[in-house]
Amino acid sequence: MMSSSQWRLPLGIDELMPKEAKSFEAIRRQIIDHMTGHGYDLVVPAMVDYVENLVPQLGSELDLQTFKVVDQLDGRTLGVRADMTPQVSRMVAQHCQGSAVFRCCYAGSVLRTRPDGLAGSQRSPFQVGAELFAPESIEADLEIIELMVQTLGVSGVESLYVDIGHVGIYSSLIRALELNPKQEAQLFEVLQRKSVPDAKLLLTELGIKDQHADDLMALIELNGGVEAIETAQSMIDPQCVDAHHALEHLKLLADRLTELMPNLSLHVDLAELRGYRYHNGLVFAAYAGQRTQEIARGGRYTGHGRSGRDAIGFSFDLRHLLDWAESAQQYGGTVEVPFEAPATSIAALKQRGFTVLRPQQSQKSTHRLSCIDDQWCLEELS
Amino acid sequence: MLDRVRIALPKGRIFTQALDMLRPMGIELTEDPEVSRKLIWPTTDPSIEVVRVRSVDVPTFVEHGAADLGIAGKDVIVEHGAEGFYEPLDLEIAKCRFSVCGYAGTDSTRRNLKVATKFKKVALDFFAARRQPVEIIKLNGALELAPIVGLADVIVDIVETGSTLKANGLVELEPVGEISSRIIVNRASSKLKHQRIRPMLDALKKQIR
Repeated sequence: MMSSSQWRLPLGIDELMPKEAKSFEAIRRQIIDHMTGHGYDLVVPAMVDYVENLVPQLGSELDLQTFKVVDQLDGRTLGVRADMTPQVSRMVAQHCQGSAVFRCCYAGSVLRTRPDGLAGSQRSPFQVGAELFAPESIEADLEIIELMVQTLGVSGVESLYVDIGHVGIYSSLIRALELNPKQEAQLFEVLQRKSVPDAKLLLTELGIKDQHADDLMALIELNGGVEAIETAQSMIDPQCVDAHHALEHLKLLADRLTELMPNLSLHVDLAELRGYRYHNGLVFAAYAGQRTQEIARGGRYTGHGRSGRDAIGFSFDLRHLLDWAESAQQYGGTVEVPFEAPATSIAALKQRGFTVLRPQQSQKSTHRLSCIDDQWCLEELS
Repeated sequence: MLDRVRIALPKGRIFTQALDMLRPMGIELTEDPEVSRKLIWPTTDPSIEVVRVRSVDVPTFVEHGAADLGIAGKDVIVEHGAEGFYEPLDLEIAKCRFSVCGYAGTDSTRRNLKVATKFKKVALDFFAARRQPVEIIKLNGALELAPIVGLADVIVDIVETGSTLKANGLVELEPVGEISSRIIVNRASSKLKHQRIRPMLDALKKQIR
């Protein structure tokens, strides 16, 4: 007997039927073409890899998000990729030595043990991303944000809203406090919830006061338009030199972005660090339309290995873009073509946008190719 | 055009208190909620609307962006998990506390204590923090009955006045935590509509004693 579970997919796993799959494939191609057109060549990381290659840090969120199996061949633990960025970073470290600028893009399914609260209930996103391995600079930041905006634009996403922040500000403030990892985690969690009441309580509990406490409390509310950066510059302790460097960098970037893309709505959030797993500098996310979760995010990090290279990149779930994709192009119709029909006629029909079908029982088509007086003619079927 | 802002308010006691806090900001329901059968209520501010939902559902509405703002008790937030939204303000209304309650003299620090509660996560966190293994029994109401009929040794519940406990011969054994209602804000709304939401939060902040 067939149980109802045979019709059900695992939670957070989905599939696409032809109509959606057609749009999906169309935007995937457009996006890859766009990225390769800007020098971001496609790389294809492995679906399965040794866990240590997939998860740079054991016990991290990415580690928990990774499905693991034991390799029957050598007993080592394999993981199914939950995020392709660390893999790409490892590939670049291994195959592209030297310090020349390296650009690449990737597109493929990833698998997560648990739905990512930030990205809806999906456990198998189709991750598309681009990475730029180049020394830290405003130009690198601009290039990658511009590419993100254009890439989303290619798939029809309009009136984008980009949120920028910088991990350096928070880490600079935290460094001065000398907290243990548990306290640091508590503080991070409270700040990510932007819970003013809980933050006050926790700061008192941890004995953090004066300028340090003021700076951290201010961080929670330092968000809004670009003016939030200037407010932060005037509020945050001048002794936190790294924080001020980060703010200066953000300010410069915000100015250049506004100049370059005047229609882009820019938002600054200096406390938003949730979901940024390995980033250590600029972080950014894109929002659009009525969607209540970001549709893309990225940031700066240090690449794989001891002498890791500076890198910046972004990625997104292609499925999220389906909402904006125009419904797949309607072709001229379907033509039933007998096996005897010459290949040239078939090629001509396909050229005209027809879908060519071989005759089968109980099949409906809009046209038929028939041979009348030795001539192959296209008949429209009612 | 101004962005529309939707506020999710919980049914019951907090609802009236929340409306009282919105009134000075020029936000009032244009229909009597006791009479109207509408699900989404317009207010005197045409760009603001209110939905009234079960208190446990407020975080869900806000997390998914079905409402931009919401008012939810700390109890509900903790039980739901607070990862999906911001909690910028404690309104200091509907104050009460979580407590471990039971018959006087019950040793609530004993290993393998049987605890009946509506708030599974709160209870688990509380006992786990002091490394006390307990058995949690999830109930949806009439918690006081649990120790009386021997279903559990203690209960973890919200205590306001303590009169229900007293009427059933139970006492508060240990406090677990203070509760009051908080404003919660959808993450994307707080960015996309910050020009609307920020002034609202500032106005609410001024009202908090």
